[in-house]
Amino acid sequence: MSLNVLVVDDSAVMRSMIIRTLEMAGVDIGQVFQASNGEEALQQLDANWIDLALVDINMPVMNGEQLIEEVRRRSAIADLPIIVVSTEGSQTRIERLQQKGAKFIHKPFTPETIGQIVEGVTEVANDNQV
Amino acid sequence: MTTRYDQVLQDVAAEAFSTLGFMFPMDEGDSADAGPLADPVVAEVCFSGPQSGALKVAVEPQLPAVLATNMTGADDQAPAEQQLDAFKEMANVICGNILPRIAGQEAVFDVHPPEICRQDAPGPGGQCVAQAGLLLDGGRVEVSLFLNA
Repeated sequence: MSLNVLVVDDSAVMRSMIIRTLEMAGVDIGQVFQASNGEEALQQLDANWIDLALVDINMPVMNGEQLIEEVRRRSAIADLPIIVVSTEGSQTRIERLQQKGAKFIHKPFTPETIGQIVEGVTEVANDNQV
Repeated sequence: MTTRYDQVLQDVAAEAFSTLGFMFPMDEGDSADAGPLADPVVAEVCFSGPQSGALKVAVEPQLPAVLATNMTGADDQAPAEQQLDAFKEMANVICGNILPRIAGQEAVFDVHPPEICRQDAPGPGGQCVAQAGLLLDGGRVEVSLFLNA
């Protein structure tokens, strides 16, 4: 099944790189949506069917952690699989994000890492829908 | 005596450039012998937390274009804005990866957005606790880590 993916990062180059790495990892991508902060991401989520979001943490306007909290509050999208892609190195912060139901990928990343995490996240999401 | 983190910084910078930028060290040796960088492009990332300071990354002027092309996979040369975006992101990744290596996995830092500095801008304050030089296939890189007292 093709995945509609939302990539949220304030760096346009990083968004391009994440999309390219998903393709290199062999992820079956449908439509790709992009946002440069959490607020834009919520607008994309309101307007489009999205299966998976890859989200940076440090962004202007609305950061990634605020975005995750807002998504989890909205019943229509509360179960959206979210992967945080960040340079964050603090285990304390990473565990806090995981408690909010997000997986974590550390920058710099490889196609193998992204592929494995996406596969794991989307399998769980599919199982939950059965 | 202040602890030096030169080798850690060297390793972190080399991994970031190779994994994220597909730019690989041509020589493990010290590139300091080649003298100061001519007309470098400089990015600075400030951070605060258990320790505050800044990471400064200086590269040869052609490097951001190579970096942006490698990161995006574009066939054509990236516009100037994307070149600096790619370079700032690289500085951000190096900073995010060096901090837990010097302060531990539990330490929580606020990493500020990277900024491009003028060549003649005064350097960040604090004491330089690490310096690393890389000779990559896309050009030379110098990275310095400063910690405030």
